[in-house]
Amino acid sequence: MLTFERLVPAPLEGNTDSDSIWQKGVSFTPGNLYSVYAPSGKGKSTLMHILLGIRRDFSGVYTIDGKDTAAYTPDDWAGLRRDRIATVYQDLKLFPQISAAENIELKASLTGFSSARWKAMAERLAIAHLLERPCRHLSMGQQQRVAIVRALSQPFQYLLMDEPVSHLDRENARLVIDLAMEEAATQGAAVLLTGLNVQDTPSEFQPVQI
Amino acid sequence: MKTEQFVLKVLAQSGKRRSLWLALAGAAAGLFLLSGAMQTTATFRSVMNRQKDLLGGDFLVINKKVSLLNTLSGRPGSFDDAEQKEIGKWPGIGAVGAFSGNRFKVRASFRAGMQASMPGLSTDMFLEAVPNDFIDTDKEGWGWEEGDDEIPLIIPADYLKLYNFGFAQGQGLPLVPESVLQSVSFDLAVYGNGKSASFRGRIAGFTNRIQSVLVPQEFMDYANAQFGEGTGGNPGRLILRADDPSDPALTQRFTAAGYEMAGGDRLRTSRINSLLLLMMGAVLSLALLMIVLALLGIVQFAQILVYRSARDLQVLYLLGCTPAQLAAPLKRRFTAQLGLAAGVALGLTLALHLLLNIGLQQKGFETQALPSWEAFGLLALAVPLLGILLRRAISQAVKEACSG
Repeated sequence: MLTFERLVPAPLEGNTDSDSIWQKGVSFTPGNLYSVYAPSGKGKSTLMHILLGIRRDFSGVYTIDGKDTAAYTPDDWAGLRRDRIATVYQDLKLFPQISAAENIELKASLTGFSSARWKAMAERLAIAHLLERPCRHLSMGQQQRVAIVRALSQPFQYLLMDEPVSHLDRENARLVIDLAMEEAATQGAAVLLTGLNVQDTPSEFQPVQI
Repeated sequence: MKTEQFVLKVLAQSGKRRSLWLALAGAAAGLFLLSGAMQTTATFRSVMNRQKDLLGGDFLVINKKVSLLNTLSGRPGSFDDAEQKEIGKWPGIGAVGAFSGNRFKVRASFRAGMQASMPGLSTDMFLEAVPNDFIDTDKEGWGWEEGDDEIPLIIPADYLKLYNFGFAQGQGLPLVPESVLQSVSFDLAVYGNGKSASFRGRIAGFTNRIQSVLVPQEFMDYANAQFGEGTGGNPGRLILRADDPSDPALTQRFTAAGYEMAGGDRLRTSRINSLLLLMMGAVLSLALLMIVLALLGIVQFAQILVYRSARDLQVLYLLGCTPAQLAAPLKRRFTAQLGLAAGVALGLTLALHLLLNIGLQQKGFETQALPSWEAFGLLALAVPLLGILLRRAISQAVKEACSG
């Protein structure tokens, strides 16, 4: 379980509402689906970065399964990101100089994920025919789907997706959300999603208001 | 694609390779200077300590300075038991032996015609003996037992030079090589205490170290007992076994105590040794400076390489690679390159050793076949140390790059 206790990021210090998750605290439990809503600049990406251990500039406590993350080492975080927390970053963080397949394979080799499984996922998201192309030659929408397949190519208890469908049309966005929900269900994992409108969000997702 | 291959692929795209090779060449040069200076010093020291001599190579002869006081009293300064024991305790001194002299009369004579090339001559002479421990007694038939007619002698090489280049040339007499003189025997008449005896003397060998005529201790003890008059006092000269007879510190200590070291070549060697040590010190300082500069160059290259690829390394870290995993291929690559530099330094040191040996052998010096262990010991210390520093610098740079 990922839990924030009176956790306020440094940039939002003194600028949070009393009913926001920063003041009330929040927990994310494996098996549940969460859709995070917030106006622009209110800390959606900050939330994701704190959850991933990228940002440590906050007051309050962030625990994982009851253990304070303040004591985590870089190796601990690397292990968490490899084995328990899968992420689709808002800026995708793909390597433009290598092919889509190599980008995914890089992650799969790290986690021991089978290539047949990720290739099946690429097939489902309609990017199988693009896999040998360098990422820099793909459109933003195509790159977004490569990043999603890469994120899913590992074991996880939490799937963090920061605006994963911002460059996708409604049909492809639906494919991505369905795949993510299926994989999360298979692994018994939680999904945290940002960037979806309330009307586009499947009903299984609990709203989380920042 | 495996993570390691990918890290190397990413890093290969940044960094000027020429600057790395320059830094590596600097490291190789520095390491070579370090081991080369050590090798050169070791070679020259071993040559200086390996002069052929019947007497062991690691001893010294000392006496007290002859002063006006003991000239007037007619007694040269001698070493009593306490002084001998004290000297034996000095660092670097292994054993102390006393010279014993003859208390009987000795007359050596070459009869004319006894040997074709030698003129007839006869002379009074003196003999001395040192304990057998100080003489390589296995060689040249050294030693004497009661009843033996022949007495082996060691004489200063300078005596023969005096004869050959002073006396013989001036008198138009033939020159005598060492080997001829060693095959010549002469009459040695010993008398005193109302008795006399006749022996045959034979030159067993020559020495550059002791300005004396040495006979076996056994003969000296026998002859002093038979023909000697009066009792022997304290010895005027001591023979010392020293770990390194050319050690400048030892020379200084003797001078300070008012003792003279016999044999000018020892002192000269000591001075050359001091100079050699000074030069080695200067070269080693230069070598260390070069190594530090080269290490800085390599470390800086590695850091620039890491910082230029910081974004990619950070993404790999976010994908789940540990900093150690990311640093590993980089460390391996740089360690291999440092190993290459060390290999070059090692090869150059071996080549230097061979060239020095060939050069010295051509000039008639006896050299050591094996290279100096100090030179390689120094490399064996310096290279892992450099490796550790380099690996630490890489780890630090990768950690900083990961944490953004």
